[in-house]
Amino acid sequence: MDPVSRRLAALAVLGLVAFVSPVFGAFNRPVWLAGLPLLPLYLFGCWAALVVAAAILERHR
Amino acid sequence: MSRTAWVTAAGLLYVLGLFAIAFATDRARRRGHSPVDHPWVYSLSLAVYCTEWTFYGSVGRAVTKGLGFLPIYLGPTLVFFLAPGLLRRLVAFCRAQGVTSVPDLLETLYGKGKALGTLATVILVAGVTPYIGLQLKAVAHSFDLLTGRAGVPGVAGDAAFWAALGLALFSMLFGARSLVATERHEGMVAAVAFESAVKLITFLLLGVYITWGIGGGLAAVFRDAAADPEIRRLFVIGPGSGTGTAEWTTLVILSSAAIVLLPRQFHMLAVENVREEHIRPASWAFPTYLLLMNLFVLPVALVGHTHGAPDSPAAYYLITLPLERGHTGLAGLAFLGGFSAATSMVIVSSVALATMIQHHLVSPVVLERWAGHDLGRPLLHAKRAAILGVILLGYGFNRWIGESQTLVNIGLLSFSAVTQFAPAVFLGLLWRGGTRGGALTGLVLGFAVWAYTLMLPSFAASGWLPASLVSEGPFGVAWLRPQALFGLDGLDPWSHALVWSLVFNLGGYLAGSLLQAPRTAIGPAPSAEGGWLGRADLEQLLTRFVGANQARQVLDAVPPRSSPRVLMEATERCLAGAVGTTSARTIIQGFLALPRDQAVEILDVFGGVGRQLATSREALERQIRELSVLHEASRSLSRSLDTDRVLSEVLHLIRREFGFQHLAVRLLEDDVLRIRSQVGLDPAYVAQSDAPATTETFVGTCLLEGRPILVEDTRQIAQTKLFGYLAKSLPVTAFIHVPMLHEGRPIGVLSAYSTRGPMHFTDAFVSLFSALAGQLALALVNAQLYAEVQAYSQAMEAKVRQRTAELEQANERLRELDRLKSDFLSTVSHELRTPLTSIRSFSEILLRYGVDNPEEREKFVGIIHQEAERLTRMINELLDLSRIEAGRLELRVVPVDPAEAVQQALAVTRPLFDEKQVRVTTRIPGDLPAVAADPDRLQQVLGNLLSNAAKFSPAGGEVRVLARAEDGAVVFSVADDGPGIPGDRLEDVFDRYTQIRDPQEKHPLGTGLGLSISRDLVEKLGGTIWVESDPGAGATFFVRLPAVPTP
Repeated sequence: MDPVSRRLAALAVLGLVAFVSPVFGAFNRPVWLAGLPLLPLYLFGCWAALVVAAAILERHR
Repeated sequence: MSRTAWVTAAGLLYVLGLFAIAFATDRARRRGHSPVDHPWVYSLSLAVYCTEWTFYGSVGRAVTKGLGFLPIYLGPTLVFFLAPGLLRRLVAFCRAQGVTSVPDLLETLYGKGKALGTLATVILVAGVTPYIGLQLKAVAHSFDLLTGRAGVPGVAGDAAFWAALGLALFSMLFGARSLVATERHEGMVAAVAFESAVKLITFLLLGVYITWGIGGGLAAVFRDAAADPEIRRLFVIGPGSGTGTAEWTTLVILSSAAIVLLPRQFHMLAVENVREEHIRPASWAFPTYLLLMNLFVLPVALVGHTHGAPDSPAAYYLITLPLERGHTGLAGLAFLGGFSAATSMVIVSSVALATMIQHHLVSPVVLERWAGHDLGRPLLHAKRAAILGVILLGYGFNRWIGESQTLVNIGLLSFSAVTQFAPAVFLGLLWRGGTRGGALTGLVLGFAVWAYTLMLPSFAASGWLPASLVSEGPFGVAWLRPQALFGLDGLDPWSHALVWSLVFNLGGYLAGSLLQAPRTAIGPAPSAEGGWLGRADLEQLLTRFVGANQARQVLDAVPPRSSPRVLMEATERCLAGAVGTTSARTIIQGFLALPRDQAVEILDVFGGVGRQLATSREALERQIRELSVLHEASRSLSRSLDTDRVLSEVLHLIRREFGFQHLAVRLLEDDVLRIRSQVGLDPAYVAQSDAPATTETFVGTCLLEGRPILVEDTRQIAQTKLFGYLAKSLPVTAFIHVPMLHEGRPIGVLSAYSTRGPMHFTDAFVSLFSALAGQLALALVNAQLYAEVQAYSQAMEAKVRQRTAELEQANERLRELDRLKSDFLSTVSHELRTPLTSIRSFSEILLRYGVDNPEEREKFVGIIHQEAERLTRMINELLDLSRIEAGRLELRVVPVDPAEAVQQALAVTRPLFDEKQVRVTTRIPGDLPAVAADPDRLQQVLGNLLSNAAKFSPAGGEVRVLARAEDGAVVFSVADDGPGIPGDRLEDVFDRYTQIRDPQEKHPLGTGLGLSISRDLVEKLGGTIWVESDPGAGATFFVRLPAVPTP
């Protein structure tokens, strides 16, 4: 695997940690942040961050 | 015009638009440029993943299950980050092997047989067809919602039916354009990509409208929602929120498997992939699409819940919310988005399923029953029928099952079903130990558990089976309850099913694999015998299945000078795309096993092609091919100078390129033709095949006459004895010998034998073969020359090594001499000091004290005189030595009387004897001849021997001096009765710098050069000097000098 593929694979692992792990559990609570519920905010935020990171990694090969 | 008519017209127009896009794309491709050859189109086409289940279903799910809709998209997001590394490899593998579906992949991975592919096809068709039904139902339902009409009971009034027909038509036209499934359907892909764009844009537009237009902005939406405790619970995962943590994880896993293994996804991912590079951008573009698609799901669900009519179905908020507010246009837009999502799924799924059905259910039967017929058209019709069948079957499900619980869950049921393929597919790709038996066992067990734990409860919930079956277990056996199997309680149904199905699936796979011998995967490589097939034969074969145009295209894509094997592989790949990998293999093997009478035509290496298509293009290709073989041969010839390697490389090249399985190179050694290198011949024959080069054998004739010998049918020749030997081990049917000529002189013969029936060697082939033989000869001669040069340089090296060793020895000796010399110098200076000390002390006594006693004075002067004489003698000796060493010793050779010489020497040394009272007896015959010598030097030698004898004789001893004549020479001898010389040092006494010490005295006597100088003198005079001694009984020195010949 070339370096970019390896970095993207690492991103997949990072996503796994963010979405299904105790880290996820830490955000899984009925808390509101600036009028928005925490968990959806966290999930979409992580998701967007991952996608942007992937795009940057992929485009700057 | 009623709203129904409007909506119908819009739908029809949209579908016609799809037709137009697909048609235009296909036309553009025929003109040579491909509009879908773009990474974004590829990413959009992958978005066929988002069906109406996403478009409508997510909103519905969000209202009841909170964030439970999200993991369906998080899993694929993570999988696509692995795309450049892993999916790219999967796609490359599938393209290389002509794999078009998951069942194909399993067949390819696990080898021959039909059971695995058939089973997989049946399962996938059963698992996905209802899903197609669900899409059609959604189309109908949204249509009815939009038009506001009540559902019409008959088929003819059902929008779903007409949608099904329209989509079937589209799929048949653009999804089954040719039989070769590996060929991409660019029109279809373009339409699907367009639909993906439509569904995303409409969802985003409606999301914005609903959130801001109805809900009053994002903050307001959530503020309103926060007021409702029923809704508040949806924003976390866990008990009471609608989605548990286990279910969350399970959905991530299921969707991760589904994004690759669902038939439509696999089809888009692998088959419709224009370039592998497009996978890289898709690794972020596709996840981005998923993110955008889900952005407004939660807001829309919340707005629908708080602002929508309480009785409207949650799933269709996108249509009902604008409709309730009179925005029919926006509602229509939502309908179109949902319609896009549903139709793209139906189109791609039906095509993918039809390809599977074609490959694994139809082709095997058809090929068996109608072997030898022109099957291209019938098989294509069969594929189109399969598409229609799949869609209508889906529609049937929709009507039959209707609103049941089963249909609602069918999406996740499908996901769970395709997850069962994951172990067999991914382990099969990564682990060579998996076997066909293991894969079958795993699949069967996994699906059995899937059906038991998911389908059964679903049927029970729909009321087709008694509910007690689920709540109490079959026959009341509690541990067999489908949703709490073996007592595993407390999990949601999906997690429960995933756990048990994977346990059984993986367990079965591993157990079956470990108990069975490892598999040997079928590669695309056909058997080597295929080397005989020409382009035309393969084109004929392909035409039967895929039509003339396609056949020509496939073969034209192969570079003109490719070997028959490459052509074969292309043919097999194309066939695999058309009828499946297993069937393709069967066809190719059947074709290779043609009866012999047909084979004659095919075996004509080049001529066959030329006869059938005598076009300049073919001729050109042939020549390029010939040249490339020659080029490759000369490359391997120049690469190596090792004869055996050269020969075997070229023979293997010939075998590969022309398909001859039996080849030999014979070389002429001492008028005998001997096999030097061979391929595929019996060792016993090779051992007895040495034959003198005579015209009685074919090989001999070839060599002696220097021309090729061709035998195209061995039945027509008188068999020679040599050929008899060969025929015993090999049923040769035709052969060719060509001479290996070097500068016009034959040095050997290159032979090829065929066992595949009579054949015709064309002139082109013979001249090519002869050229190869010529190259071989040249290479052999070069190799021989090289070997000679090698041997010579090795000999030279050995010589240099020997010389170096000698020089080292000499150098060592010189060093030793040098050491001896410095020892000697120190000894000599010490010796010179002794007499000088005596002289100085006695003269000092005389000078200072004036000894009065004349007797004493005389004694002192006598000692001084004696010591001075000794000094003189020593210096003379040193002078002699230096003269001898420098080669400046001059001798005055005259006849000398031996007796006189002895007397003079005795006279000089008399005082020494008197001093020790040693008696001297001489016996010298009077008639001795004169010797040729320098009288002074002879006297010096004899004097030296005598003084030595005097020195070593004990006081009162006797010294005997003899002389005798001995054929032309005179031998003097001087014998003493001193201590003698040890036997191992007899030679050393003559050695310069060596002194035999007098055992009675501490210091050596004299310089010790006397004997060494004597030997030099004697040898210079042409004589010899030696010593004989018995230790303890004295020593005798002999000097032998040539006598002066008497005239």
